Amino acid sequence: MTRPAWSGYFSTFQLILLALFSALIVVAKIVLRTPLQLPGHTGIFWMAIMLVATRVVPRRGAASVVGVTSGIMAAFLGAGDFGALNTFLSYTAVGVGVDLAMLLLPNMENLPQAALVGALGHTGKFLVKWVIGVVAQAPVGFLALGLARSIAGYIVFGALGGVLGALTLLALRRAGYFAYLAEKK
Amino acid sequence: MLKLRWPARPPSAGKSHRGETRWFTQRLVETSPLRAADPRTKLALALGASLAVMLPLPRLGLFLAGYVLLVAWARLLPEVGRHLWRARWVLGLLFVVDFWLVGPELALTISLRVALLTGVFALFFSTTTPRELGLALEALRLPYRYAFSLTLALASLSLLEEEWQAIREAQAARGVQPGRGLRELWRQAGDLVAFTVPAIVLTTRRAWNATEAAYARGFDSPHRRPYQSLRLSRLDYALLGVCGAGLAVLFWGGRFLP
Amino acid sequence: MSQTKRLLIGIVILGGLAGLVLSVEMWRGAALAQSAGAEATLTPGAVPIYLQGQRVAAFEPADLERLPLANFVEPVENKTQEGWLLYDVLRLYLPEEALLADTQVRVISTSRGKSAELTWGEIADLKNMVMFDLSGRGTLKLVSLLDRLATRDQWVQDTDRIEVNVP
Repeated sequence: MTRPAWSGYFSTFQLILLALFSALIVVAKIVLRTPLQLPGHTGIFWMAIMLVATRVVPRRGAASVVGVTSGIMAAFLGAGDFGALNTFLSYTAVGVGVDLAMLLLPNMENLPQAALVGALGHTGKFLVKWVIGVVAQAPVGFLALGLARSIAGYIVFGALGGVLGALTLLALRRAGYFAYLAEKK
Repeated sequence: MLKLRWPARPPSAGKSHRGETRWFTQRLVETSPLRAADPRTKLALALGASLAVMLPLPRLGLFLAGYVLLVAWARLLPEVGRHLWRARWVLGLLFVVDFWLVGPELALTISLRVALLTGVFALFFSTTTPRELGLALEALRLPYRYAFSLTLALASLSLLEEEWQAIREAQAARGVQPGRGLRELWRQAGDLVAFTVPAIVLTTRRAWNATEAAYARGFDSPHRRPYQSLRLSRLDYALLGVCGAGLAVLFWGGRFLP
Repeated sequence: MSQTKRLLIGIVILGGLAGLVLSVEMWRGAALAQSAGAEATLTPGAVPIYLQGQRVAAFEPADLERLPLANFVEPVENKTQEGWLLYDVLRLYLPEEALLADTQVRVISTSRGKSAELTWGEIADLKNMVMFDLSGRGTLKLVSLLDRLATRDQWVQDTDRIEVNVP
């Protein structure tokens, strides 16, 4: 069987690492619930792990792989309230959003850049939910109920997640994690 | 119904070794006749059924009648019901607001479409193991290494959950817990790093060990041949034929249908 | 590109996305309010036209003057039917995009409990002569050369409602 040309883009270790980061996201979303009852609050840890993944596997598309993989896993476990398709698309949108944002803001160890990438990526998830609502012709009154609050929640928690991701990366650097990682490649 | 967890059933079902309830269980319906079907067939059925949201109300009604029969035959009614139950408030609100703002026909159409999308993938996910999912992805021409990584990650969920729980408990013992307000959360951003750093390090170590173990077993060998492969059976052809024909009639049945 | 510029562009994109969502929602809200308020009002004798379940227009006697007359001799009773083609009536009130070949048109007489189902393809085929004839009582009667509308008991007399559904 011939392999597609892009199958060697990520090494096996990188693919396994990205897949395990995806699993970490799915687990963190359930286990590390904060007591906040605001829309998008689970994005804090989610975005932090996503941003760390893009630095640990510094190749374009790493965030999308994490998004797609965590989407498949979350859908497989029946997470989310609106079925597998919605769950899969939401997770994927976060990954693709982060990859796109990183074209403009590539330095994930810089706090403002990471915050903005986190906010943009997390907004991707909101956009998927909103587009599905519009396509399903959900009534405006229903959607508009707290729509601005919802967008603000996604942006704020995405940004917080980005900051947490940048702080985590700095802490990992201080701890010699990247030197350890360099040996593994 | 069997609740399956990976990589193997733990000694006490539903509890970790520390006695905590585990979240990451797949609800695999072993008794379903769809267990015998090829995962690609089930994926095609679920995707095909998702397309039915484009049908107008009378045809959507016809489709749903057929869909309910299929789900009942597959013994998945409780599973689909569980998905719908979780979305009950939104579905109810959607129906009431649509009914009030536009009319009964649109309210019914939209609610049925959302309900269909909510439950349709239960056909696939409730009857397919992670290993079968990996085989299906491979058969769909995804690189073997990616399919393997995904299967491995699915198998690791319970372990990762235990690790997260252990980190959370360790940090809680040191007085680090996520704040109750936004301002508090912002002030604690530095403390939250204490959650993520150990998790990242442990995950990286696990990934490296898995890679080493895989290579030691001949992973990535140029002459690798899969131990298991998928093959469509009569059941698959029958399911694809009947469901495909049904959808084709509903979409292109013209004037013979409502 | 400097970091400040990158951050500014990022903020503009984020603001643009939020603005886009809110604008689309406002537009949807306005469109919904307009469609709810724009439901056609009825005058006595008018035949309401429903598109996808919503009343969008009412076919009024005064509008008949704007439509060309058509006629044919129906073969069963050898009687001349003269009136207005349903094709012209619907084109007068409905947008083009609603009139597709398989658009379903139902002409109903609630007082007589009768109705006829037609596709736009049949109506637009002018050989079928799907049309309204003005009855002696001043009500509209649907007649046609189509087999299923060829005889008196198949016609839809006293038409008082037209329903159009786009599949």
